[in-house]
Amino acid sequence: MIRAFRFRLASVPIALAFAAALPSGGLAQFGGTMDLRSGPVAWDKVEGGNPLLNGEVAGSYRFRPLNGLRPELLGRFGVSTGPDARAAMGYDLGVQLHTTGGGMWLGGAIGAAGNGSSARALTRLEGGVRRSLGPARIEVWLARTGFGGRIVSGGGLNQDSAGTGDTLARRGVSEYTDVGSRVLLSLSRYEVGLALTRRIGGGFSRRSGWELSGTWWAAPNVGVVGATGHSLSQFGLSLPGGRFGTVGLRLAVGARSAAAPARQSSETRPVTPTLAVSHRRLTVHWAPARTAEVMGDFTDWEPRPLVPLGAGRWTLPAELTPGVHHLHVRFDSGPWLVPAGAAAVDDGFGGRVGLVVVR
Amino acid sequence: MLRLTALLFFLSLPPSADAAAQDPRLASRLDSLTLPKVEAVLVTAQRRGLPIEPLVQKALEGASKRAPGPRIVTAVEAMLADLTRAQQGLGRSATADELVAGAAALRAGATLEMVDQLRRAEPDAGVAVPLAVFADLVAGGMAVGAAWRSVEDLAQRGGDDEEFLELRERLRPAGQSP
Repeated sequence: MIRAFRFRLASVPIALAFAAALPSGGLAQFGGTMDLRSGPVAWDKVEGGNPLLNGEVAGSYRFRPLNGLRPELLGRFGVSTGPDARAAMGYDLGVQLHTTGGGMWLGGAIGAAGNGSSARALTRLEGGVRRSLGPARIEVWLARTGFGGRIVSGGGLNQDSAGTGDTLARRGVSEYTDVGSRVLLSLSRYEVGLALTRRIGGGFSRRSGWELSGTWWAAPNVGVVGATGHSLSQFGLSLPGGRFGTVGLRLAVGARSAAAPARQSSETRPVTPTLAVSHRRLTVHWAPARTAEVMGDFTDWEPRPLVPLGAGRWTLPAELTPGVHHLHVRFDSGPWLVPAGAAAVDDGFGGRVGLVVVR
Repeated sequence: MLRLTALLFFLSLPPSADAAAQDPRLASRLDSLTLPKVEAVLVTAQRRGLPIEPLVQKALEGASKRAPGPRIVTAVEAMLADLTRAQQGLGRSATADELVAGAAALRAGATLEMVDQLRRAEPDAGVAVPLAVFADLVAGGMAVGAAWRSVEDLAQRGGDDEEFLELRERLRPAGQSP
């Protein structure tokens, strides 16, 4: 067993390039997150005491919905140095199709992984479903990753110096399938997540992985993350599995919720904020935001923060009085909007204001 | 005793229109040039028997949107005109909500005759919701005539507020952006 520092960078300069290259229509969305985490790792079946440095850059771009499907382009590039100080890398580009109403997604990606010139092509097919239950978001997914040939390279983390582990090199793995589930509970500025993964197929000494994480959003786009668990081998980045405990920062970029990393975020989001009033309670649905505010005649037109309910839903923690109300909402301190669900009437100032009836 | 009686008499008098128009919320949000002009509009509204709260809110809305002072005064005056027209169509017994919804409906394209017809069709029920639904439908892109026929038809059948809201949901798909 060795203990090493784990450094993970998950996001987004590539996505910035995406944003520059792709059209930026009003309903299309670019986004991602950047995670900076470090902590001790006890690697499975690997000897030696070299520290590990691992970086991953990922981004995505969601297009406008078309015929009930919303395409999304995703890209990822990762590098790592391992116990033998050789660099390994992996990258892939993929497309996912999200149903706009059914909570399902299906996608594929191509790329390469390995060590320098010994990198092999990889392909990945994946799909999943997700549901929102109150403040909880639940995802179940399946991903099959195949390589162009058995990856048996001469160094880096692909090589098991002890010869007893389940690294890609020793087992000569050419493909594997993971089934996973993830539950994310959002309460105010706090998020708690639990992810379980099961690897299907032979040749692996460890088949189950898990991660328990907690995030405190100290600012709209900056979160403090703590996580612990036991990861499975990540062959794409030539990482063996291991027990880990990490702390770090999460930065939200673009329109994507920081709670959902670029590769895993597949929740269906409305194209405009949607407002509903039930039992004199005002609720707004707009998942990509980190903060939400409302102002209207019931606040004397002063901004009031909305409280997150999870799964992109926000509420005003007070009942509205019966009658006709005018209002605006905004997200992440952006422009004031008229949400769908409210009538957009002339505000007398050259714009529109939302009108709702509360019974 | 006489002095006490006189004091109670003066205290029991309703506040003057000018005093009621001096809303501390406005004083803290409007500049010194805009404030007296808005207060003058409020005094006019009180003298016409119109609710002043919608006008105060319109001024506060303008302040929050950083509208220039003259624009705020114009918007409040326009609101006063809308409320006055709504009162003409709905009568002096109309509630503040009905007047606000009526103003929105008139601004959306309804006529005084339409508003008056709706009032007659719903003599015992409030018309705030039907008027707001009409304004909503027009804002959603529906033609004024078609929206009005839908609202009027339901009103003549004695539809309640819930049915008007259902009408709105039916004619305007959920999630549609205004």
